[in-house]
Amino acid sequence: MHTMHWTWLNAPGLVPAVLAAVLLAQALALTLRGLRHLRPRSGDAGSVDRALRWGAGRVVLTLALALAFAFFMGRVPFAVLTAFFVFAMTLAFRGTTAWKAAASALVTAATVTWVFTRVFLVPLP
Amino acid sequence: MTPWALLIEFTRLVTNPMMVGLILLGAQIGIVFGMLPGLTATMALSLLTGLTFGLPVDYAIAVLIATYVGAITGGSRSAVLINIPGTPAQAAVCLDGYPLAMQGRAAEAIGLSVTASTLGTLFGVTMLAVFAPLLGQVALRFGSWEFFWLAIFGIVIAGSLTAPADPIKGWMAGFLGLLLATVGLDGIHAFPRFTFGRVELQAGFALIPVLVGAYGMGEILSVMRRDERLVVETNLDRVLPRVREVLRHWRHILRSGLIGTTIGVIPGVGEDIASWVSYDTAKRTSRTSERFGQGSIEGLIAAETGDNACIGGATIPVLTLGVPGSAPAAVLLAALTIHGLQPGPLLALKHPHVIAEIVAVFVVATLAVFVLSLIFVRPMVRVLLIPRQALMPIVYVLAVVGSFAIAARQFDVYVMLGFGVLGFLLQAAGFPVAPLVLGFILGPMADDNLRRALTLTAGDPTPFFTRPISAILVSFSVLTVLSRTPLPAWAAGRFRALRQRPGGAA
Repeated sequence: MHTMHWTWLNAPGLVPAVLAAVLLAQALALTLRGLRHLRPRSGDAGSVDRALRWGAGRVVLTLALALAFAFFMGRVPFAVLTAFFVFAMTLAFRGTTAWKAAASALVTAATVTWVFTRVFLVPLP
Repeated sequence: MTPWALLIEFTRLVTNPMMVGLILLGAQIGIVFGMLPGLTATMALSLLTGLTFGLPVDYAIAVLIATYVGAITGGSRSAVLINIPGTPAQAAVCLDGYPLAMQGRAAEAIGLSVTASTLGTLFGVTMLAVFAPLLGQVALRFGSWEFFWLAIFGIVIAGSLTAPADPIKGWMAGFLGLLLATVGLDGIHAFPRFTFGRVELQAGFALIPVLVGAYGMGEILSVMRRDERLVVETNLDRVLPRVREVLRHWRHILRSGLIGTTIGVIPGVGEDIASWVSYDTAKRTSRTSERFGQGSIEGLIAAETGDNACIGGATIPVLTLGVPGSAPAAVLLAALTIHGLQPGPLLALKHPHVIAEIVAVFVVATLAVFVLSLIFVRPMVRVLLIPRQALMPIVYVLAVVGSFAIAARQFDVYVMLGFGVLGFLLQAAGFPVAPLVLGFILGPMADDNLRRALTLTAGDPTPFFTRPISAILVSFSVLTVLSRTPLPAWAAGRFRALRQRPGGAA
């Protein structure tokens, strides 16, 4: 049986350990600074909480639809799934009218499927 | 690379109708991606890398390069017409482009910005043709010690410049990228790290899903979060500028070209910084600096020349060191790797014609973008009015196809989604995404070379600091970090206090 020989010099865990230590030190510095100021610095893009409060529902809806698309890939024919997804998402976000959304969905599904399977020879799910 | 080699590649390229067609297609896709706020050059390249996977390497690279040039040039359209930069690279263009449009000079502003972009790209590409072979020779002297420091230097400088208000967040994003790159079998012993017994994780996270996720999906979430409609109210008459009008600003064009190329060479920094620095320098050196921000042609030309010159500059380290100079160049690096070319010091030795071919493609792509940008001004304004909410579902479908296409694995789609959420949350908290992606790309370089170097010297770390190129790289890295700490201000204060004290040094 082959036995692997390594010392601390070339151990697979060396780099992750060093990186973890560096990240820990940086996180500690940020935490200490946060505790000292007790409020976000000016120029700071703001906390995740504050940033997400605005439009959180829209982000969750986008993610839910995106996850549903990924989940149904391979279970539903790709062209059909694409048409449903584009229609649902365009309509959910009031991107355009129902007729235009339906037209956009059908054109996208047909074009994507045809171009990538016939022109770019890319495998589709 | 001799001028003859370049001429041969150029002739070969323009006499191949398929190649010219693909360059035109890539250029037009790039212009559309560039001009639509929320769709960036990096996103366009990430999507197309997966989608052109089935094409022969020459064609695929040509499409990607044309898209890169098109996207960086196309972004000025929305900056001028609606005061929203199409890509982050055009933020500085808004300052003078939009006031010009408000004065009824939108067509003139678009024409000048396209011309300045073209000249900037050609300047950067000339630098690429001249300096890539020279830097390639220097890079052949790099050993494991130098490559390790090069990766760290890239993270430090990219973190510092992409998070100017809070560099520690940029550095953290970079080191997080390095850590995420360690997932999978390690490069020396093939030992599984952070795989949790999952077979899918043994190869680590694939680069394209990571790129598409961090830039594409993250941007989709950012755009869908807002409910904005765009309105364009301006007249477009004569777009093509007069040659004399452009040549009057030759000093700004040359200076911004040089600044853009130099910033491009710095790992991971990119077009947006190049544009701002060029704009700022032009403002400080202009005799009419008071007109900057109120519709200055000089400001517009400087910003546009700078960001486009960065394209050639950012490609120099890709081809010679295997290190990306900007985020779109990182995707170009990934695409070259996926297609079997090995960007880095050995590229010119193993594939001697590649650099000349890439330069020739850049030149043709730049000319194609120039022509397309000026011909289709009015139809493109209509594209600008398509609601983002109707476009993003289509972009998401392309992101899924692009992530899936490389290995035909559903797992990669989930990786793309995961990195999309990570990128979105990081950006929301003020952490830049560019160092994260750069860290992910440079991860294997840092990891393997650190352990290889330590093994070669039996654990002696001295060569990391004594080899000349290593010493330069480590000095720059340390100085960059120190310059962003309170230490310089503290030292300057102490020095001033000492000088003012009676009997002090001065």
